[in-house]
Amino acid sequence: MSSLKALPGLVLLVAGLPALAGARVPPVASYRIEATWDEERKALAGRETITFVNRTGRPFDDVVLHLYLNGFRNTRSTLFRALPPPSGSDGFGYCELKRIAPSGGEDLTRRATFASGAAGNPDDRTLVRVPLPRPVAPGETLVLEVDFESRLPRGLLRTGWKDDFVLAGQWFPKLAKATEAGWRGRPFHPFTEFFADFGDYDVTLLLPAEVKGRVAVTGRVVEESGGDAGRVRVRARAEDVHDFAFAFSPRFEVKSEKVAPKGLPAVEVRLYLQPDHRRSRERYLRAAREGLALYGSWLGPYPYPILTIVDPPTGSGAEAMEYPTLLTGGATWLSPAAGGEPGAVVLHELAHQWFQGVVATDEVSEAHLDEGLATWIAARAVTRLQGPPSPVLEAFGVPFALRLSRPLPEGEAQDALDQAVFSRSDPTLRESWRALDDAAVRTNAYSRTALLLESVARTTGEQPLTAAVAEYARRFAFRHPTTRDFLDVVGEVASVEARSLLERGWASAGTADFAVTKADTARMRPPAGFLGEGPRRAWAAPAPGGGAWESTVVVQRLGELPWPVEVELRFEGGHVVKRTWDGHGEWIRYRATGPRLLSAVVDPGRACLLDVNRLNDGLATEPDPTAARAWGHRLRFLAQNVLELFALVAALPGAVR
Amino acid sequence: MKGEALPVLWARGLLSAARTWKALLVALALNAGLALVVTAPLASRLHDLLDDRPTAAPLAKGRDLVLEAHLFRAEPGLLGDPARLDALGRGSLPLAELPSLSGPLAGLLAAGLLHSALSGLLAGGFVGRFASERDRGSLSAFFSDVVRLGLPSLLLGLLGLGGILGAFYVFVELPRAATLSPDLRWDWERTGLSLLRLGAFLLAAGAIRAVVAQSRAALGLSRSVNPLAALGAGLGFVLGRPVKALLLEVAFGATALLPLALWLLLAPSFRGGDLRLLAALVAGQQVVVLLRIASRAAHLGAASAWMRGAREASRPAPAKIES
Ligand SMILES: [Zn+2]
Repeated sequence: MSSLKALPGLVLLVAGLPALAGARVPPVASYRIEATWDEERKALAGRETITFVNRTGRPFDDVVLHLYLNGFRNTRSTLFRALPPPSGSDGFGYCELKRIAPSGGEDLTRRATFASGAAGNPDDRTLVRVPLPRPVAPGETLVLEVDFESRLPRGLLRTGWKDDFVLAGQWFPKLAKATEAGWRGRPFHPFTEFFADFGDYDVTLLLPAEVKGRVAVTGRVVEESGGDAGRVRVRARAEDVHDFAFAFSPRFEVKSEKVAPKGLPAVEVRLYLQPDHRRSRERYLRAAREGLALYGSWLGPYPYPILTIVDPPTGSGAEAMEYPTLLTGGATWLSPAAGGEPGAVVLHELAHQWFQGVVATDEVSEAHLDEGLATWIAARAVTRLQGPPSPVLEAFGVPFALRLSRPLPEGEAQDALDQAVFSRSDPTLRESWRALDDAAVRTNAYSRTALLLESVARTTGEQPLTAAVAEYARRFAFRHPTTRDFLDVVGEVASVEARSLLERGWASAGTADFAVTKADTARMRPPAGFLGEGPRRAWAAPAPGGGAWESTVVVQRLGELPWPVEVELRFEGGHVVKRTWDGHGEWIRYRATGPRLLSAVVDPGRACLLDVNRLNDGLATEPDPTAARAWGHRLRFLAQNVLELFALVAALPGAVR
Repeated sequence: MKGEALPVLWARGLLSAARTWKALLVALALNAGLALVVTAPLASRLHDLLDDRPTAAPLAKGRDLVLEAHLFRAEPGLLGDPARLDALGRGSLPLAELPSLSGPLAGLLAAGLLHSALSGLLAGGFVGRFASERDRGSLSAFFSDVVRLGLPSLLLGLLGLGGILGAFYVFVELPRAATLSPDLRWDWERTGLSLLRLGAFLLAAGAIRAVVAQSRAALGLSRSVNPLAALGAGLGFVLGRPVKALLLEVAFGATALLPLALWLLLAPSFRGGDLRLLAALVAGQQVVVLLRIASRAAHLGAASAWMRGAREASRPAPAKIES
């Protein structure tokens, strides 16, 4: 109902802002889908018409389709080989091709073969190749009709169901990406996401009647009517997108809000909330409202008239995922406000609307381009809009935020800190699916890239880098850029140095670690020994020093990654000397005479956030026991109380969940 | 107010504890000494790691997420085996793996058990003094009671510890996965079931503690040193007045936590600089710990007074001669 009421608004918007009503990008892969949900079998029976326009310069004599849900088919899929197997049949799903044929042509299903990909897994069924009776020439259009059945697993990896909640992602047979080099598609890998061409979607769903008005979709619901017995027919349309997801639940509480940031086009924000998460409603809406305004000013306006936020139930496996115009958040009944959720997750997924939604990079091979940029931008936005979040602990189902005296600085996300060490197995530039494990993908794509970007901003200037990111977002909107494209824009708009720092950071699997390994200071001694020549040669006995001080400082690069760093020497009397080291050599030595050296610190402004050990960044000539004393003091009192606890109940600390 | 009313018992317990102040100081010294020993290696390690590092200065001011992360990144074994610590922090370390902890945390665990045992011995001294009419504050009498009643009291404590660990296993460990299951439909089910788990454990632990306290009191009051007889007496006593026994337990539990809570809320934290402030803070902390120890002893005092009162009341009154 409420979506129908909103329709006149859409019409007005379309009339007023024709540029926003689709066709910003000539469609390549468009889908018309009709699917019926079988609640009993947790399956969608569907029929789709794929319209593929070959906008490349090469002919295609076959088509390659993703059947992502086959990743959940059995324990021999590439996806499940890397994950713990589900305990019951609920955890499995599939996508079965029933029939595939060119419009009006013969059934090609029996010619289809599965591609095993680089993993060489012959049992994988997630990528299917279908030879065509006749190649599709450049400029030609191919219309394919596909019948399929998709069974969704119990919520796992961004898709599936829990109770009466369903999030259908990657649920239909979907074309791989058409490129000049042929189809680009890989079997569904557990640590990677997706890549596809833009197009238009027209999707009709037959769903249980009780979810009427409670169906969240990519794009917009344009029609909702009672279908046959007990069902509702929901028709959704989305233009200029490269994926289509939907979610429904009879328990959703739907809230719609018109957001019109100053100087930016209006956006309808629709929130589909779990009733037990009402506490988070305003936090969701506020993050969307402020995020649309902030990102609009940083990256250009959000290009769609609608943004849909799905709040999944706890434990649904559907949390924190981005789809075009639709994102999922993540909250619990008691999410403490100081923890920053669900605001932070909304800001991250909202950043994805630009980086991957509109600037459609290859998430399968270059995850750092979307996850890294989204993590970096969201971390900056979170600090700016909500203040730095506190870590949240949970005891007996009750979450509580830890207030700490020094929060994370802007641009440094919690997950970056949680990862104890950077993966040294893979450089970020290695395709995600080739990486050693998911830790390597996560550290490289998310935290390392976010920290790298923030470090470049701090080292070479914040404004030039943000201007470069904005230009990249503008220039490559509705296109499919690569790392090279991003670096080129950075080199052009920011600086050559920013570009080379990024490139080096992405090309290396190594870490950055600068350390002051020596800081000595001593009184200058007068010369001793035989001084003077010939008859004037005289013996000078070694004498104790006096007067000026002679100081030596050594800074070493212990990590593999060079980085330009500042070295700060502090002397008695408040003298401070700063030097810049390009960080390329293994070490550098500074010598100074004059007042007594107190301390030497490398990177005192903390520009290089990739430095894995901040503590060795400085050395003092006189020990200062304060910090250790303060902690010793705290630890002793803690121990006294723990001992007393033992005497009292002999209960064991820590085991509180 | 009746002599057995809860507030009266509470006050009498505190009063009896106050009379044994010398023994309380012994208990405090034991606690502080053990804490010192168990934290000394870590404290000196911290001096090694931080003293000549100007970048560590912010740690003096309190917690610093970034520096702590870097410290543990550089010294992953600082508190012990990082994987087990991680599990402990998440609350998912199985009880059975606790003995395999290493490093300072293992030291703390061992010291905790030792402290628990020594406190059990001292409890014998306290109940001995509380049962006696004379020499309540005498340290030598206290120690002779420790010698006489310490072992049976320790045995009662061990039984209590076993009971509490059992209750922990049954109420907290076993149902953990079920109450945190992602299959639960609503969030409040998770929270509710988890709190139920906690409540059941606290109730069981409180009951066990009450039985141990009354059994120890019985030990002091009887001439026998048979812990089983004392356990029987304590169990019988608590079963006869379960609600009040639990309330007494709760009252002294709150009394023990109050000074700590006030300290954590109100006391300034040491951020370096003046060593006199450090000395004052250490002294204040000792007062807090002393009050906690005192309220533990006071519980025994109240238990003794209550049990003695109950026994006197049930003794047959001298026959009255009717005229
Ligand atoms: Zn992301």
